[in-house]
Amino acid sequence: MNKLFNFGKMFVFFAIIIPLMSLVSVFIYYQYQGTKEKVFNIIQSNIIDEHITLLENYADNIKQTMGKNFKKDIIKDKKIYQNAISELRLIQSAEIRYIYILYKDKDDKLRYLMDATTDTKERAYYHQLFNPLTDIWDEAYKQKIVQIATQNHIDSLWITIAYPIVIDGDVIAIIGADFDYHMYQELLKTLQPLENLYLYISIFMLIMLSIAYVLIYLYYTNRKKRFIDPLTGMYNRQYLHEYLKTSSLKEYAIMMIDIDHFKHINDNYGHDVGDKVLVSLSNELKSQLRENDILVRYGGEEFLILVHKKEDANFYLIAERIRESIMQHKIQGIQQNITVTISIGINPYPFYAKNFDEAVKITDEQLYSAKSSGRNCIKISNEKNTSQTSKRISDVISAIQDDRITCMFQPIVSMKTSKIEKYEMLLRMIDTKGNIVPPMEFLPSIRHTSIYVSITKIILEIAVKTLEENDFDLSINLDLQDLTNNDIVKLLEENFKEKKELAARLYIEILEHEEITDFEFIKEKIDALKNLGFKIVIDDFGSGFANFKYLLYLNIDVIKLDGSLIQGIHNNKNAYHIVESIARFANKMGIRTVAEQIETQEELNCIKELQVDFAQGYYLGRPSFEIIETL
Amino acid sequence: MKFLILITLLSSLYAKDADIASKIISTIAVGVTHKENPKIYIYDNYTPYELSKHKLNLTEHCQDADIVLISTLKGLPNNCFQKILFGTEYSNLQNKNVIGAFFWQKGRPNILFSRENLKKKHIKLSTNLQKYVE
Repeated sequence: MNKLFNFGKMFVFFAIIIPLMSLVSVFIYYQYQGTKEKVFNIIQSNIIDEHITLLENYADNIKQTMGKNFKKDIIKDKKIYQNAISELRLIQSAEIRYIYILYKDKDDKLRYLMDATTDTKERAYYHQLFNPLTDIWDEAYKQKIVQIATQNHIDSLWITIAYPIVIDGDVIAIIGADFDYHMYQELLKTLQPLENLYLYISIFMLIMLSIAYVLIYLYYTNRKKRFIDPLTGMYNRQYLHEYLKTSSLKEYAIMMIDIDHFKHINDNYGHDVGDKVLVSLSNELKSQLRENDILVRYGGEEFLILVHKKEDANFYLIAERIRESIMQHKIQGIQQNITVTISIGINPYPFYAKNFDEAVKITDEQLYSAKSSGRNCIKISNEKNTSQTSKRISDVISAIQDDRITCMFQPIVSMKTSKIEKYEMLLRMIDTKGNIVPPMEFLPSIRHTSIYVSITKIILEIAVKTLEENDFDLSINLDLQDLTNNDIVKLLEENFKEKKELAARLYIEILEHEEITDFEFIKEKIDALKNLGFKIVIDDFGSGFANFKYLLYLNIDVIKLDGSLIQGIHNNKNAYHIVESIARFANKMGIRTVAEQIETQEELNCIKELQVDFAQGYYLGRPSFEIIETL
Repeated sequence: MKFLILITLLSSLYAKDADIASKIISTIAVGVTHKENPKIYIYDNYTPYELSKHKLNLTEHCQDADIVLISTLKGLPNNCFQKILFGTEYSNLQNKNVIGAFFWQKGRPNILFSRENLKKKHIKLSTNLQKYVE
């Protein structure tokens, strides 16, 4: 199933760009955190420096005005004390919650000298013991320089500054200033919007990332469903087209496999058994393939395998191994003992084709050939016919574009009146050198392509024009499979829906390459055509698959006797009696008869004698681009 | 949801100071009474700061207490005066019956013992509390 995940640009976007962006976003967020810390430290330093300057000024003032007697003067002189504390209160601001001066007593204990704290409950008395929670006070005494501590243990305080008042090299007191925790919060609050922005971006990216991965998951789950055939669990045709967008056909040979007479299994054992056969066979096919090969359920009972090329790959042997294994395979899960065979067409050179559809067409031709050769066999195209087929397809496309698809008209003569009453339209392609190319040289190559429909459209347009301009009837040829082609049926409807009188003069000659197995279905299709007004002709009656059974099940207007019965009929008693029987039976059924390939007067005489209604052949008139009006 | 988070946050911040105070009170009670788990009576059920009471061995009757926490002496039953009185405000130290006080000032916990009052009550402090004697 790994081939299911052909990682395209979308995946690169989803799986790489978005996580990368998210990582970048997280990185930016962490970078921001670092920057925020730096900014915070800078602001904090500025605030501290600013207040240290104030404390420094205060200390300088004391040094200048009082000197070493500062402590004694404060204690003794109330006025000096009042002045000193007033000045100290001036330093107190919104940032500083408590400001006070400490000294050390003879026992080296810190005590309050002055306390300028506004809140009387928090204000200490002179000489009250100070309980230090950090060693910055001792350090300030020792080092004689300002000390700063962050108060991690006190909830209401942020930073404490211990500023020593040094006079003549001795610390005589220390100014203490406690910064309010509120200040810290204010600072954080200032930076919060920026942090929030980054946080929201990161959360947004995280959500986007989650959504992206959910979408990826859903995308590939749906993709898987879309590309897997629900019955067999194998890839379907859609997957193949998707896969080949990113892979080259050069790496593969194409193998097309059709289960022989699969319809019989469905008809005889029911669709449930048919489904089990499909599942069992697809599993067996899968087991015969290598990891690099790709098995696709291409249609109902049709499988396509992209066989990965190896230097020593012999595709015929691979196909033979597969054919053998299927023939020996016992279908699992059913009571009936069903043996299944397969027909295989191989195209070892798919890259010679212009595109995948053309390559499949070439393979399909080989499969068709295998089925026509009695089934349960393998047909492989060679380099030459692969490129020829490819060339033919190109030639037909060019011919359509250059208006070189046309029709010849061969007269069909009434045996009663001996006059030309209708013409058979015969498709021809004119090549670039002006040579006439018969349909058997190019139709098989394009039969399952849209080109085939385009050619049918041209034929029908010519038919409509000819019927409108003339009084005689026309017959055109369609393959039995064309009746199941909705595009072709639609073309018939579109061209003749409003022209019932023209449709009544158009005979559709149905030729089939395979035996009809589903008469009900074909009857339905033929009845639909008859409802549009068309007449139905069974071509080549009496040969191959066309037989009396058709007359029993299908609503036929005309049967055209196969040329092999007509040629030399005057010298062949068996042929004579067969034609006699067919003509008599048809007359009784109300079905008209046409004998084709009349090439001699003797053959014509026999036909007349056997009361065949119409005749055509080189003796009566060769196909011509111009309409031959009289014999 | 936001409200719940705020409540939890505030209670944890509040619990921090209350826990410290309770631990200090407990240490003081042991250091003063020399008992392993002394009984504490809080007079008037009031202290200027919060305590994590569940962490203290509290008693509801003064006569059962080894130490009595007071914030004021007003209305204190006579039998309580026989007990060791310990203040919760600095001003409590002015009374000679109070041997010491523990109070918060400038966000800092402060412990003080009155040498004179201790002597009067014949109380000898444990070594770890000696440094708080004034």
